[in-house]
Amino acid sequence: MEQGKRTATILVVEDDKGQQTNGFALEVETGFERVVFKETVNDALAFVNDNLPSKIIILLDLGFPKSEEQGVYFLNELRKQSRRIPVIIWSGRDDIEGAEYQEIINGSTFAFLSKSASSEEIMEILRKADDYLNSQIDTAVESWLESHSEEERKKPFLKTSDGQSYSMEDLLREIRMQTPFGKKIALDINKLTIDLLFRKKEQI
Amino acid sequence: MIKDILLYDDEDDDLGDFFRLCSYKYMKVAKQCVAFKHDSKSCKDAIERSMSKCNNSKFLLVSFLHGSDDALYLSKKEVISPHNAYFLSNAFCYTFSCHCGKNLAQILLDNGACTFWGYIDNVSVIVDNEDDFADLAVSGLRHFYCNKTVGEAYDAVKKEYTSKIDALYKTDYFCAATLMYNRDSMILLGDKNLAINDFT
Repeated sequence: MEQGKRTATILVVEDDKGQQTNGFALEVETGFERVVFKETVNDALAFVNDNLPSKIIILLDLGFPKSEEQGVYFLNELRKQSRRIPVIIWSGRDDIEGAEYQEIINGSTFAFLSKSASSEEIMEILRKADDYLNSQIDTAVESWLESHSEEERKKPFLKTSDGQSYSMEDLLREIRMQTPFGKKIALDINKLTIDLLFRKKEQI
Repeated sequence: MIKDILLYDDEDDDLGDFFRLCSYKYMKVAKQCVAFKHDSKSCKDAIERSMSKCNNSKFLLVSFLHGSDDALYLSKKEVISPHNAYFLSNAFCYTFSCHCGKNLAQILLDNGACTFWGYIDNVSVIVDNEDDFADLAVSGLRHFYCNKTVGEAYDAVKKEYTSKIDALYKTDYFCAATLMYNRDSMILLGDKNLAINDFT
């Protein structure tokens, strides 16, 4: 990792190839370890699906060619996979209203950015999204996972008396995909934290 | 001598080793018990015959098995369920099995069981800490055999869970969180004053 760069992957879902080579892309690359461009909604969804255990922040354009799936479709499909990935709507349109606006709000969008926003404004929002991710339990679990060898991460780690077995990597995936078991793990960790604070074993 | 029946699924794909470890730890405490494990003799009929020989007075049924809301399973087959709950009349039923505290516990008590000790939700085991988890799974019986009432034993085990959580959380937060979940999932229903002297 280059010093000072943040570890989240920035996924830019944008059909305008020009954005990949302009100053904006270079600016983001100075602050984040990995910037990935996807020109279609379906390619972006496939990328998210393949990289769910990673920390991802999405910059989403809403408008795509009429023959293709649109940004709102992406939001709806993404939320079926995970609700923990921050999505920043990045649009040149100022006519978002009605049902489309409702879909965007329901999609728990992290922020709205105008296409005319400056690089500094974009970076500030991306850093806030990264801070938000870093405050989530899955990021803490990811850090814990990194302290173990690859072999340790893959072997059975936790078994339940209803016959399920999970490796450390499985647990991270369960948390990131917000499965019922993943939610239970996150809740257990939160409960322990609260218990330790209330019993004054630890302090904030 | 206490009449004591032990059920454990030592060949279970996931938790067989853990259930075996629990049973070994328990056998050191109980010294003598009728044990049914994962083999051809461990059929439901044989277990029922054994329970029917015991249930004219108080007896102990200990199980390290998979569980569901309504049943306990040995070799993936139901061995304790509402259909044969009457065999557990007079039983102190002590389980390390998930979910069975939800419905099965009350059904057993309604059919004359004295006390039910078990878990109302999933219980989990961290593979590298199996020994700690097994100690806690058996600990209630250890206290019971040392002349504590089941109520006192239950309180003692809750404290042991908490001590273990406090000892572990700085080095293994995940394990501590799992122990806490198991602790909070544990329930005790029925006669809490039951003591070992009631069995002899």
